[in-house]
Amino acid sequence: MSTRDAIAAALEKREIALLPHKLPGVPALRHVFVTGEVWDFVTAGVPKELAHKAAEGRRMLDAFTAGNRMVVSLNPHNHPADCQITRNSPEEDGVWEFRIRDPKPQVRIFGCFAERDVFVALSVMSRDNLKGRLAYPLAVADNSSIWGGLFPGCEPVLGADINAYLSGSFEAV
Amino acid sequence: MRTFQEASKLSEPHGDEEIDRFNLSYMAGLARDRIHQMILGAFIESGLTKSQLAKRLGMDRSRLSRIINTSSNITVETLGEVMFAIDGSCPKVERHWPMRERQLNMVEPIWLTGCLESIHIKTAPKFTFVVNSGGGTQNVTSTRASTVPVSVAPVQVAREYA
Repeated sequence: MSTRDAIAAALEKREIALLPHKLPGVPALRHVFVTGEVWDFVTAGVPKELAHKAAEGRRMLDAFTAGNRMVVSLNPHNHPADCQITRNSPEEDGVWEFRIRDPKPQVRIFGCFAERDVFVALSVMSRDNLKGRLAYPLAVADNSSIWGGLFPGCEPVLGADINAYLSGSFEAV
Repeated sequence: MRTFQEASKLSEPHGDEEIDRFNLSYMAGLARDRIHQMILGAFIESGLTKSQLAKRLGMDRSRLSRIINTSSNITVETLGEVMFAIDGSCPKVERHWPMRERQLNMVEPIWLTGCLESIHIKTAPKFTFVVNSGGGTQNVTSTRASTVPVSVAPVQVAREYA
């Protein structure tokens, strides 16, 4: 089964959903699919005190969908603190994160690229819960296994070519 | 099976009704995003390096990096300085009403239509589909209520003429 077929199957089983841009007139130049956990976070299904953080997460995913220039880093060990999307270690797992840095505490939306310009957002974590030597590797492993459960036998996009992940406008740092 | 529904619909404000905090934050972020796109676009087009631009501005490189890399909450004055330093331009502010834009249908990848080509619409308002699977048919409620997949027409093979 191809990744596209696996995505279609997961949509039919309602394990994931396509996240449309919140504004009606914005064409989707890229695409974001989300799990229920991410959907709840970025569509305001969260307590009021998290609303601002959740809106920032939605805005960032919508910026991706709209084809905005994104600041991206392939290097998990040496990227600017303020880049927007970065790949995580180990690189062979293909797990990336959208970095919501404000307001504090920061939030990460983890996910994988199913193909160029198609991101599947798998989970949301507070940066506070990602402290300690093992926290990040565990989070990456968790997301890798969520991916495996959703799309058995399908690999996310891997490799060192940034163009395999994103087309159009991006700034690799 | 879970449902995927927006908990907070975005609409233009009316009367003295309080606007949802999520939507206010989203729109504030959108405005920041637009400014960031303008700065980032101009910076990339200029061909300048961050060091060069930092020198022009007399600004700390890490602060400039934050402005270039993220949609941070910079002041209007800083925006004016940065844009002028990049290419001699000055931002022009316009109003835009995004909620008055027409809803676009193409929100899903075009290939999803291909993957679901055996799904045909039975009754559009309820978004119930009939899936042709082998000998029988099966009713399916789509998760993708906003768009309707279109069945792909069979490929016509052109006859070769000698």
